[in-house]
Amino acid sequence: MNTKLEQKKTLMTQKLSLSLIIFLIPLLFFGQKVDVKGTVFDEVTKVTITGISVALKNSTNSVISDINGNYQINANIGDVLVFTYLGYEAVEKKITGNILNVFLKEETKTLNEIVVIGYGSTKKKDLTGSVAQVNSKDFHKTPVTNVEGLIANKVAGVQVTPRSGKPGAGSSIIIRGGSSLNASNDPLYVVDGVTLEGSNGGPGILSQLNPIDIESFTILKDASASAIYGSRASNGVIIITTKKGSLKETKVDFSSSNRVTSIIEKAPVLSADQYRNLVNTLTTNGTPPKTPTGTANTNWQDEIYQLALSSEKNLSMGGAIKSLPYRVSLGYLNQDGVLRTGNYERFTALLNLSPKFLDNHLKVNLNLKGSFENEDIANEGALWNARAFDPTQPVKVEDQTYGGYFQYTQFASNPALAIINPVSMLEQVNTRNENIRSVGNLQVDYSMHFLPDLHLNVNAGYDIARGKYLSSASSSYFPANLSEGYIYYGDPSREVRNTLFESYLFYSKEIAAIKSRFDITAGYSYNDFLTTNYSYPTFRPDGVKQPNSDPVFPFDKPSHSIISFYGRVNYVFNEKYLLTASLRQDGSSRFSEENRWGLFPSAAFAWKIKEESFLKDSKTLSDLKLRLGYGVTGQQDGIANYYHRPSYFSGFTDQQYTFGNNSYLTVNPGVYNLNLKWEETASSNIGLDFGFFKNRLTASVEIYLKETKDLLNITRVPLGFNQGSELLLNIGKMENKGVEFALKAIPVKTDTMSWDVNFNFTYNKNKITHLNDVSVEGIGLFSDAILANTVGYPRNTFYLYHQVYGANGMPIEGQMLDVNNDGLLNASDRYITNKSTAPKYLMGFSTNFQYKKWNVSTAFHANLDHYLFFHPYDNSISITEWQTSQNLSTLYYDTNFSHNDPAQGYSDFYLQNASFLKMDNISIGYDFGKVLANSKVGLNVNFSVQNVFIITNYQGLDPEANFGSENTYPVPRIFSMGLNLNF
Amino acid sequence: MTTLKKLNSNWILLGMLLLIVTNSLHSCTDDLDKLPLNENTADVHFTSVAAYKQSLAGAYSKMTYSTFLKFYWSMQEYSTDMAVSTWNDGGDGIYHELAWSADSPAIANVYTSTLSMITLCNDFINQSSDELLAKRGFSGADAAQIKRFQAEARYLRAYCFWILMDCYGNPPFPTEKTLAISYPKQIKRADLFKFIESELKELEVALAEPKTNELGRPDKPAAWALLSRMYLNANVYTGENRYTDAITYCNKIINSAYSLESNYAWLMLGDNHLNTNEFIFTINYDNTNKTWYSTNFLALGPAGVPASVNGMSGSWNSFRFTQQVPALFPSVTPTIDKRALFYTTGQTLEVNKVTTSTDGYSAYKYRNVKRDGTPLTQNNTFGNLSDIDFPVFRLAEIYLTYAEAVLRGGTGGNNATALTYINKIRGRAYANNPSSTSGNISASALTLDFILDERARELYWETHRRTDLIRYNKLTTGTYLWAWKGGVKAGTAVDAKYNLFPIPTSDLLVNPNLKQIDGF
Repeated sequence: MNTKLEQKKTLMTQKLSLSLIIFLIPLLFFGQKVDVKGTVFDEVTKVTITGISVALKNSTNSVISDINGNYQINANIGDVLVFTYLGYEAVEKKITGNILNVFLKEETKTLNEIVVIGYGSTKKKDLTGSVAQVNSKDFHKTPVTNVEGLIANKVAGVQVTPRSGKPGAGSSIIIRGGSSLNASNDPLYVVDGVTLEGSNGGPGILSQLNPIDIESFTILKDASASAIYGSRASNGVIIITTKKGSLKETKVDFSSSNRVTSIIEKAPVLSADQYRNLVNTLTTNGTPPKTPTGTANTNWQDEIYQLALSSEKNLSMGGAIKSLPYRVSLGYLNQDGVLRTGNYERFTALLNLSPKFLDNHLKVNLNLKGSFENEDIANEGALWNARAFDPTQPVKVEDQTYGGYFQYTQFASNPALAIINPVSMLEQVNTRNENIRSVGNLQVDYSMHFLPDLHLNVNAGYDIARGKYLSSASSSYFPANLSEGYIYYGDPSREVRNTLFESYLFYSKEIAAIKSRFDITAGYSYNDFLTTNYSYPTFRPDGVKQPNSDPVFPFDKPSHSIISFYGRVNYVFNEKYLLTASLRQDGSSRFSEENRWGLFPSAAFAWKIKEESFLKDSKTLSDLKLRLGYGVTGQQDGIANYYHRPSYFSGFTDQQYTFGNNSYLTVNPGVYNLNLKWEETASSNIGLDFGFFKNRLTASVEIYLKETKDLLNITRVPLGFNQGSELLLNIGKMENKGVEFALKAIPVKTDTMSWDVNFNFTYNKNKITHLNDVSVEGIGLFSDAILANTVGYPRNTFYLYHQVYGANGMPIEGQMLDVNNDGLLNASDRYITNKSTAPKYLMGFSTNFQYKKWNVSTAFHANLDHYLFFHPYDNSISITEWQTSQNLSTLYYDTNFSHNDPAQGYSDFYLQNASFLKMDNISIGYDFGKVLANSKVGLNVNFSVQNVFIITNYQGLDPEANFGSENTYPVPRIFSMGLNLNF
Repeated sequence: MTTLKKLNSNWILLGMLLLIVTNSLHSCTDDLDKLPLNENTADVHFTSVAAYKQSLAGAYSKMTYSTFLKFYWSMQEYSTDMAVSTWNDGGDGIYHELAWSADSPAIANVYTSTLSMITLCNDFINQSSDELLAKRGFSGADAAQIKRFQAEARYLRAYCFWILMDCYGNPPFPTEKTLAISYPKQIKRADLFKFIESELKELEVALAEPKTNELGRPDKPAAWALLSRMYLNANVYTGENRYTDAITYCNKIINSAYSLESNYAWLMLGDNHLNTNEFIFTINYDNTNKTWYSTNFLALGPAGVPASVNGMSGSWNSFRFTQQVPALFPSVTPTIDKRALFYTTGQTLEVNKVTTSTDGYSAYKYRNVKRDGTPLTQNNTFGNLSDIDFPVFRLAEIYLTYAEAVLRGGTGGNNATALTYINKIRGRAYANNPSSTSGNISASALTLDFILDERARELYWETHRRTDLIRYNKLTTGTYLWAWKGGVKAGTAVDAKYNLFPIPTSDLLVNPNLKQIDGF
């Protein structure tokens, strides 16, 4: 029944596209006049330009310049020809004879910048939505491993946070506060027209991209811009475009950089002497340590961290072979982690071909990207153990039973009870991940011969990857000793085959008579995502298979697909009033037939106030535009592929149950939600763009409201309701309200000196507005932990007890305020703090100063009104009560805690304001210019420091670390030296 | 030239359109109906009796693959004189202090694991309904066999509800009718008693005849045993005495050809599946499978016990007795009473500090060895897993229940029979022979207090102690003190609310139907 419906929908769309063509055909007509010939040149290089549109004004007659820049058109003397080409200023010339040669000037003004948008591009001046584009010249000038780092904190409303300091891990990007609760808040990434999904095996989502290849980032922030991507656009869309070859010149670029990376700060724990003194005091008080102290003085954090080196080499060449523009690029990165034994190696290759055929009617764009990533993964558990391990114990001992490492051998029969020597965790366990990936697409754009204004664009792309995972430990590794060590060899561990097929029709027309121009896009998109995950048995180092380690299934093939239809209309009236409307319909295999299709509309209006007569002549004001937008987008990331179906899963082969004399492989139901729906975000946006002094100073202010309904959230549900205690549900509504302000100024611009300044500010207020199921107290989800989601408060608001303090101003252990005076301490005495992990204010500042051949740049960013729970070990029970005595944070000297009180884990004593100001980078460069006489070889060198300093009152290591977790891989400080040769 | 161009362009256009049309037709019809590879929908899975059995095994397996047994044991033993915890593992130190709150993570374990087993059983009960069996084409012997499985799922559910009733008082009450439809309602303790009672009485019919089922699957005596235990404690749950009913159901078991094994030391060994004379219902373990939190904890946990004794890799030094327990035995060696399997080497009698693993004697009752003393081969990579089956019900408990119910005024039994049953237990304890008279007590010695102590001697570390002390009103009151009761070395009375565990905050906050029990 529903299949029919779907077919009907398809047919409808196909009919629509067809009728569009039929409707447009009568618009064609031709005239017969005299021949005008000519050649079009670039004004600066004097090179002929191919593909210039030469149109007769006030008529539909137009031609395109050929490969030699020549054109020929029928017209009357006295008619006006309009010469236009993307990236050049349009020129109008009156016909005075049979020959008319024209020189075009490359556009330099920002307003004529071409901005890539979903399924096409537009001029910046025609934008109606909230779209920010950052081009390569505005990227951070420091060498970064991951492309996200190029634009970190450059754009208002876009929060770029390092995921971890692990080599290659990259950063997470949250646009406008993120519209989901704890489902994914990652934006949709579109790289050269291929939508990406998941990390596909590398350490980061975009880790396979080489930053050197990136031409621009376009961030679709509001829904009027992003709704064309429908169900995956709720958290915004980031379109990444790579560099292409130019017909004009051949460019070779070689760059090399070397970096030294070090951790910024170690966690403050007791030194060996402090630990011994404390143990003496505790012993005197009758609470001796669980395990005796040793005589060594080990700083375990020094033992696990290192000064890490990395180097990077890139070579690229771009140009044209005859009329075939090409760009090839090769990159190699080798980066050690600050956590010893970790290493990341990446080889990238890129090929782009962008030829044009048939008098530029047929444009072809081929992108092939390949990457090979090798990761030696250092065991991050060592981070935690290094802080906790008794500093009086040595790293190594004489006894070689456990590889010569000190271990708590009294727990040899159950090593799970003991804390493991962190150095042995790094050195005795080998974990390696290898991933080969290729992303590519072929995009063909055909402008109809019978109707050049009508384009048919077809894009076919793929994203394939193959991973290999290896892990091993010798039998002398303490935790693996009982099992006599292990080897897990997964080759392949994972294969990804994602395919993409898209096509759209694009028609644009200017009708001068009614001062109007418009364009229409109508398209179709098909995405299929298929991953194969392989499982293997585990072996002992001697090659014997570990008992019961055979997987139940050797592989699984999770897959989902999305089918979409979309359309967009842009209309410009009198070059002042701009209207955009788009509609997308998405179908996803992740939902039941009833909930499968979602409709995502948008509309936006812009008024170019500057073009009005009362401002047209203003010398100060160079631009003023008002933008209003509204749109609906969806979210389906993070939903398991088959969650809407009740299914039964086989248990593990080593978890069977015995009835009588037989063991049975178990089969149990999984969790499911029949009624799972799209999460939908409706957002409204008001923006005002200003330009002053010929746009030397540009600014924009935006106000937005994003309302998300049917929030998808993995939610604690009552036990007994469904299998498991957590379920993915559509749980309620949330809103994000915010203001963004962005300012770009060029205070100084002379022949020898220039200075530009970039500042952005974001205020975002997140609030949960409705929850379907709440308890009597109105406290929402996850509230057994310290974070609660409650109506009227931001998501992830801390939900804590009031700590009671003693006369000395220090907290009294386990003493919390009994708010309702019922003599009991329970959840009803906790309070919603109105303090959340999400910062309310974000600021970014970057500046670039150039004087002759010198270049200095720096960037800062700040998060304000941002809270974290800093709760390190501050309780001496870790010495006196735990299986193995473990080290404490120096916070113990403040608290002197010594008991085991569960309430303490919910105390507001640990809640800290984690607002901070961070200097992200500072860089100095010198351009030697042409280094050899009579050659074109240019050289510049660059020295930079990243993650320079943080100013904060937060006591933990990094206020940007995930929820303040002290166990995440620390983001290191990076010193780099780079050189760049080009010719 | 021009023709060529036109031809070219037409072909291009045609090609592109063709590509679009074929692609859209293909994808629209198929691709949004995706099916998983390694998991099955209910109709695909439940196509054979064997498949039903796999899912029944799935529900029963949660007793061995969740933290269920370890934490149920911990709640029942650490909260009493029977055990103190060295490691505060999972926060289990609060049990002995009798000082838990709704926030304490340790109290949520049994609550979670029993409710998750109940949920699996509810699903099984739905999937084995008459309608679905008919729809899936089962009839005759196959259908009967699946209905038998259904009864066994209901039995597991009843057992889990009994634990919830005993430990938490007024727990949530999810049934097969509310599964995935509505949040469970709360049920009052006395109402839950009625529900379990009526379920077990129906199962009395539906379950297999005594001793005809596979080991690990319940038969009629398993239902009778749970009924007798519930009736013995009925006053605690409902305020009403049901001792006569307790005797009725004890008699049904005793008349079903059960007898005591001859050797007490055989009861908790790696080959204790051989104890079919005495065991009524067991949780089964096999060290080929990765059963952590199981009887391996009971073999490895007792402090000090070396590998040569427990048949495993040594001791985790997790728990010991308070000094009050050895005092219940004639001596701390098994020379007189063979149940005094105390491990004393390196251990001191008194618990001066709860977390000192050498304070207090432990015992080597659970050992992963065969009756002949040889350790079971470890068929796993951990070297520490157990083959010891856990007897949920065994005949000795039924004898003790019978005697206590008679002494408490139940009819249908008599003191003389009670005395013979007790003396059988004692005969085995003193002479490895239930018929021996060497451990006999006199009729006048058979008092309620004697029975409580005898239960301690016979059933220690078998998850009975907390329930027994509550029935005797000794868990929280000052009438019986043990080391570190209430967190005080000499022991102290605590609030009577600690006869129950509260509903964990985590569930209370997400289920609007729940109200916390009094005092928390």
